[in-house]
Amino acid sequence: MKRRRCLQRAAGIFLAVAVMLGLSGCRMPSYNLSGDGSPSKALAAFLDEVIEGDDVKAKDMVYNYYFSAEKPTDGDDLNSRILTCLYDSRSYELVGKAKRLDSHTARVTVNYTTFDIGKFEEAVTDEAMEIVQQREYNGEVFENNNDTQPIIDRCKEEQLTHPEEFYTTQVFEIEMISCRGRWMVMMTGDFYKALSGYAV
Amino acid sequence: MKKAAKPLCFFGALIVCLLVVSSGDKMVDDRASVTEKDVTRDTVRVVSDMDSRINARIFNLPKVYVLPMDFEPSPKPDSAKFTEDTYEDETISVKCWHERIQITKKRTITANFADITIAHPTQLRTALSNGKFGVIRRVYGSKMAEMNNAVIAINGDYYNFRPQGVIIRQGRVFRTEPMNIDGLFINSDGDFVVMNDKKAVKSGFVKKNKLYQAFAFGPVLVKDGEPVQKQYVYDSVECDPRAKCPRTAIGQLGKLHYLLCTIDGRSDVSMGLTTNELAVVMADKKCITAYNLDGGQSSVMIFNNGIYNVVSGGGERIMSDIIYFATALPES
Repeated sequence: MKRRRCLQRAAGIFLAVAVMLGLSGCRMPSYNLSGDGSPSKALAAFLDEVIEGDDVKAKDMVYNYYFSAEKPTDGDDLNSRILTCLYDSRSYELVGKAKRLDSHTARVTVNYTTFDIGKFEEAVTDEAMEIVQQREYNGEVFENNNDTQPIIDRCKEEQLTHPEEFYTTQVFEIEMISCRGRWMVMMTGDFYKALSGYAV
Repeated sequence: MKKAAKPLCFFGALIVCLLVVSSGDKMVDDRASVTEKDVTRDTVRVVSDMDSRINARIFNLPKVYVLPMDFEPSPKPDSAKFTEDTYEDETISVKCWHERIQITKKRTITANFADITIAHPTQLRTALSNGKFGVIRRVYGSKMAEMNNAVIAINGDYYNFRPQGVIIRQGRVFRTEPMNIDGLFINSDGDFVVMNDKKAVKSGFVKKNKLYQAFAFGPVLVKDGEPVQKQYVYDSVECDPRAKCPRTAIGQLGKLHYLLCTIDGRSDVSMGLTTNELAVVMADKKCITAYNLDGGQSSVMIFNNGIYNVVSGGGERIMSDIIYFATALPES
């Protein structure tokens, strides 16, 4: 009698758990890990818009920020040319299939290549400091920024002749999150930094 | 009662399950608290500020102080930075010491060394008696050192004892009549070049190169780190190179790194050295290049305006020129 009661209780618990799991399963959106509507496609679309500089489309593709990536207007000055190098350099390659994390999130691996503004600045700084030191060594006096600006500009010009030397490729594992029936990018500090050309 | 509890338990679990699932949905849909990020604006700002960051780093570089290559006195060294045997500031480091060196079983001599590192080649300087070339009136080396604010000084080649010899001082070419002897040439990088002075003139070396100093005495003591052992009588100097005499030598240890040496001589305590022996001493001290200067009673080393060696012959002699090292820090 006791044994039968135990079996009945176990069956009840088993049934309750089975119903819970079943209901949860019903609520889980079924998504493909590849093909249209997949997290990989969504990340690719986001990066395409960032590379294009399409602010309107990219704006609503990031889950945790209202994200802007509008392409600045082209100019002939040195800073505009640096930004042009940045836009010309951007490319990406998705690596493998997305990995399901849970019912709402997936992880996509991407190789992202960009002109590294930080590296470029370091090269310009090193060259400018060397020139200034050499000229000071030869008796020239540098009193303020006006004295050094022509040297900095010259060094920028020189470094911009071979922008590909400042290209950096890094692997990112981007978490994609399903929200309102579509996939959005969960932006991280590192990925944001890469999108800015390692400037920020 | 027990029968009624079963369906209650079941529906309770069902409600909890639905709550859990629906709360998960809420979390995903809730974007009300997100902030704005503009990657273009941030990047443009960083690029625009690039010049000011570079300038900040340039102006944070250690300042390079350059002394004019003239015969005006150098800046006064900071007296507080002298110790008995050292001087150090941002532009110069000097360490002096005395050393007893055993040459043979029966002969030990006293050598006086100064290890000097400077920040700029213009800190290796020369001074002339009365500040002018060719002036007959000679003065004490210690007086010249004091007048020119030398941190450390040694006697030079006593150029006006002879009418010939290639003489360049503080970048000015004063004399180009060679004596067919080893000449020491110091270029604008502060590097030593030793070569026959006749060859230096004939080959155009003196004309083509930016030379700060040239000395006419010799012989060369160390070349490429090896002591030079002369097998002949070196006839260009008054003091026989084979004699054991007080000696003065200058050597280069590395980039803007030098060694000065005076050998005490003509006394029971320290007889002095031949130039070949001095060559071995300078090579042992790791000189890449070393050169013999005027010796005998001229041999003098002046540190902090005091004579650091024992001058032979009863005291300091008047002379025509000195080699000295100066601080490049401007007097505050």
